[in-house]
Amino acid sequence: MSEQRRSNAIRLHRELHDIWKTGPGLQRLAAVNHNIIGKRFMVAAFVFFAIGGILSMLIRAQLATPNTAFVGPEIYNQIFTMHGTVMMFLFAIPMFEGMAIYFLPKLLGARDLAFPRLTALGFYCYIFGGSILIVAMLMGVAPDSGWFMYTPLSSSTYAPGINADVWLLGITFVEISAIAAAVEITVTILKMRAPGMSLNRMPIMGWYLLITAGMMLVGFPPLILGSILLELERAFDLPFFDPTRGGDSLLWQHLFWLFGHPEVYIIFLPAAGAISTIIPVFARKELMGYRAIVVAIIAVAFLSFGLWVHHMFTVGIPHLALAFFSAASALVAIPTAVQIFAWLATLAHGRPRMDVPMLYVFGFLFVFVLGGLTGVMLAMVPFNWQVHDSYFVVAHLHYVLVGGFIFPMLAAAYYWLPHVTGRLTMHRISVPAFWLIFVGFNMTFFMMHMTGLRGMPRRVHTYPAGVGWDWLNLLSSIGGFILTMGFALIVIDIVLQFRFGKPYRRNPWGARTLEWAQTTPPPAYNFASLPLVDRRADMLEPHEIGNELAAGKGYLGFTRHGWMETLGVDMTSGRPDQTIILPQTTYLPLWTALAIGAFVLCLLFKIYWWSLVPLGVTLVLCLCWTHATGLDHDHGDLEIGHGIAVPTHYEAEGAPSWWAMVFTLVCNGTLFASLIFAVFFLWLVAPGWPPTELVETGLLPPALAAITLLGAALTARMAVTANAQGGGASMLLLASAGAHVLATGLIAYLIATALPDPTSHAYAATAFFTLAYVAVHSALGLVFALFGVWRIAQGRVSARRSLDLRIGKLWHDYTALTGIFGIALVLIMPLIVSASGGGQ
Amino acid sequence: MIAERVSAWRIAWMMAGFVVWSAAFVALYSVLSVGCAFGWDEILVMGSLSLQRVVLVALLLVSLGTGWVVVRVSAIHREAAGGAGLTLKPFVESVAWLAAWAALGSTLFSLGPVLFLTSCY
Repeated sequence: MSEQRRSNAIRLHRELHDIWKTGPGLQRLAAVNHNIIGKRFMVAAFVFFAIGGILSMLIRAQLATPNTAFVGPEIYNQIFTMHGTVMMFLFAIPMFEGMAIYFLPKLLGARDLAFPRLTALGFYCYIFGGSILIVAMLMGVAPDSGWFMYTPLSSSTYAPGINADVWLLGITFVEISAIAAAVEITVTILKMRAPGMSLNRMPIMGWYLLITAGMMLVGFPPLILGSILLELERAFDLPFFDPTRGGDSLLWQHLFWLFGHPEVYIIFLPAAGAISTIIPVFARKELMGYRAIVVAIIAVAFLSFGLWVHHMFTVGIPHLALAFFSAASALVAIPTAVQIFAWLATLAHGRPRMDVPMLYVFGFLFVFVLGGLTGVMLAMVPFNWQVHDSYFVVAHLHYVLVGGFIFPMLAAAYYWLPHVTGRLTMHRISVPAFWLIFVGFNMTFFMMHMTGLRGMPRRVHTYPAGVGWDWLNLLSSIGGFILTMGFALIVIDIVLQFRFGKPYRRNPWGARTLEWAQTTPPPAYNFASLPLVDRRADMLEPHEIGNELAAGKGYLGFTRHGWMETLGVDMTSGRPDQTIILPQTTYLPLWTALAIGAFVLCLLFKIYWWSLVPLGVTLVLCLCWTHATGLDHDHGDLEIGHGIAVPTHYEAEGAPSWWAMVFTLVCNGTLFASLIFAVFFLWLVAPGWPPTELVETGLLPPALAAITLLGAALTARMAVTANAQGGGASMLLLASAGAHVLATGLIAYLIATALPDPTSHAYAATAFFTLAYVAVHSALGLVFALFGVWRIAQGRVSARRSLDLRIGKLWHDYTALTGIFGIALVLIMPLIVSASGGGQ
Repeated sequence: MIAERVSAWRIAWMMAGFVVWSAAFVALYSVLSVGCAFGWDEILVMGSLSLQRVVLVALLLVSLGTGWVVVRVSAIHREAAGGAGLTLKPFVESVAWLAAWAALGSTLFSLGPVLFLTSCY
C-alpha cells in the first residue's frame, strides 16, 4: 500500500471509529454494536451451557448406581427440567443467535445488523429471562414438570407453587429475544447484503440463517400462545387445558411440539451452515451442490413442521394420522442426507487438510449420522411405541442435538475464534480436548440406547439393582465426567488462546468469505467501505478485497453528517437501493428490557394490577425509541460511491423497518392461526362439549366492531395516499384513531356483556381470549394512528418520508383482517356448536 | 457486474411447492379429525367406500394436482430463464422447480396412506 493510500485509510478508520465506537465504563451498557452484542450473547450462552452441564453431572451422579440417595425425587425433577430448559432455551438458540449477530453482517458485507437497538433489547431480555430461571433454581423453586411442561402435571392442581410460572414467564421473556433476533436476521439477509451479492452469490451460511430465521417466525408463536394460555389457566382459572371443563391437555402437547420439533431443526440448520462454510475451506474446494443444498434446506424447513406428532405417537391418535407424521418424519432424512452427501463430495473432490475444526467436523458426521439413523427408527410407529419414554429416546435426542449442534459449534468456535481474538489456537490442548469430548460423549450416550432397549424409563430419579441397567448407567456416568473434562480443557484452551495465542495478520485458514477480508479483531464499523461482490461470496479473495476496502475504494468509503451508514439493496439482485442510517448507542434497550422484566416479575408474583405500571412504562419507552429515527427534511438521492446515488431508507420504498413489520405480522399471524387451531381442536377433540352456555351477542355490536376496524384500516390507507399527494393525512389518521377507540370499546363491551363466565368452560375461555386479542390489537392501532399524527406534527413525515405511516398501515390492515376474522369466529362458533355438539 | 433484478415474489415462489404440501398436510389432517369426530368413516357413499375415504382421496388428488401445476409452472419459468444456468434468474427458477418436485414427492409419500390405511382406528 502506498504511503498516501495508507494515510487515507488511517484517516477514514479514525473518522468511522469516532462515529461507530462504544464508550468505556458504564457506557458499555448502551452498546448496540453487533460485534459487542454478538460476543455477549455467545459468552452468556456458554455460561448457561456450563450451568446446564453442571446439572447434567448431578443427574449422572444420581444415576451412576442403583438406589442412590444423592438427591430426592423433588429436587431431581427440578434438575432434569432445568437441564433441558437451560440447554434448549438458554444455550442452543441464543448461541446460534450470538453467532449470527456477530458474523452475519461480516459474511454479507454490511456494517451492522438492520436494528442494532433491537439486538441489544434481545440480549437484555435473554439475560433477564434466563436469570429469573436460574435464581428460581437457586431458591429451590425451579420448574419441575419437565422441559416440555405437559399439562395437567404443570397445571395449578398438580403444580401449585410458582415453579411452573417461572418457566412459562421466564421462557416467554426469552422468546421475545428469539423473535427479535429472527426478524433482525431475516431483514438483514434480505436487505443488507453487499452490492452485487445476488441470492445466487450469497454465502451458503446466508441461506441457512435466512431459512432458520423464517422457521423461528413461524415455529415460536405456537409455544408463546401455549405459554400464555397455560399461564392464564394457572393465574385466572381459564380452563384451556382442563378436561373437566371442555379443555384438553393434548392441546398443550400439540402447541408445544408444533414449536418443539421445528426447534430441533432451528438448532441444527445454523450448525449445518457452519459445517458448509468450514468444509470447503479445509477441503480447499468450493462447496459442491450449492443449489441442491438450498433446495434441501427449504425442504427440511417445511418438512420439520410436519413431524410434531411423532412426539405424541402413544396418545391415541388414529393410525392414518400417525402414518402422515411417520412418513414425514422418515422423509426429512432425505434432504438432510443431501447435505451430508454434498459435504462428503466436497471433501472427496478437494485436498483435505486436518486441523482442529476438522476434527469436530468428523466428530459431527459420526455422531449426527448415528442420531439420524435412530431418528428414522423412532419415526416408525411400532418401534416408537416400544421405546417410548425410555432411555433410547434420551440417547437419540442427545446424538442429534449434541451431534447436530455442539460438535459443529465447537468446529465453528475453533474456526472463527481467531477472528474474534486476532490470535491462533494452541494445538497442544485442542486435540486432547476433542478426544475427551468424542470418547466421553459416545460412552455416555451410546449406553443409553441399551438401557432404553432394556426398558429403563426416562425421568426416574433412581432404579432398582439387578435389572441389567447397573453397569450401563455406571459407564454412562463415567463417560459424562470424561465429557466434562473435555469441555473444561476447551475453556482453558480458549483462555490460553486469548492470552498466549500467536497473532496473525489476516485470514489464517485461507478462507474465501468476506469476514476474513477484515482486520481482526474487527473494528466496530466492520468495513471501511463496502465491497462489490461479483461472484459467489464463498469464492472471493479476502486479502485483495481487504486492502481495497480498508483504503475506502468500495461503497460508502467516507463519512457524512456523523451518520452510521450502511447500504440497503434489492432483495434478489443485490442492486443498491437505499442508504440505511442506523441508530447510535443508547440506554433505551436496557431500560425497556428492565421495564418488561418488571412486568414479568409482577405477573410472577401475582400482583396483576401493579403490572400495568411497567407495561405503561414499556410503551412509553418504545415511543422514546422513535426520537432518534426519522429526518426533518428530504435529502433526495445521496452519493454512495462509484457514481451511484440512492435515497435514505426513510425515503425508500422497501425500508428494513417496513419489512420488519411485515415479518413481525407473519409471526403474529401464526400465533393467531394457532389460536384458531386451538378453538377447533377443543371443539372436535376435547371432552365436555357442547358447553351449556353459549355467546349471545346479537348481530349489531359485533358488526359495528368489525365495521369500525375496517374503517380504521381504510382511513389509515387514505392517510398514506393523502400524504403522498401533499397533505391532509393528520385528520384521516385522527379518524382512524377514533375508529380504533370505538372498536376497542365495542369489543370490551362484548367481553363484559355477551360472554359466559370464561372460567366456566374452555369454549368461553377461547372466545374471551379471541376478543381480547382483537381488542389489544385495536388499542395498539390507536397508538400507531396517534404516533403518525405526532410524527407529521414534528415534521418527520413528508410525501417522500412516509415510512412511519406505511408501517402503521400494515398494522391497521392486519388488525382489521384478524379482527373481522376473530369476531366472525366468535359469532359462528355458537352456530357450529349448536348444530353439531362436540366431536368425540 | 450486478445481476438483473428478479421480482421479490420469485423468492416466495421458491417455496410454492412446499406451501402446497403444507396446505395439503393441514387439510388432510384436519378433515381426518373432523370426519372421525362425526363418523364419516361409517357412512358409505360409493359402494363399500366410506364418505371419509372419498373425501380424503379427493383431497389427496387435488393436492397432487395442485403440486403438479406448481411443477409445470416452475418448469416453464425455468426454461424461460435459461435452464440450469448459474446466474440469478436460472438459479431462482431452478431452485423453485427442484423444490416443487421434492414437495410433490413428499405429498405422495406422506399423504399417500389415505389410499389404504383404516382412517379412524
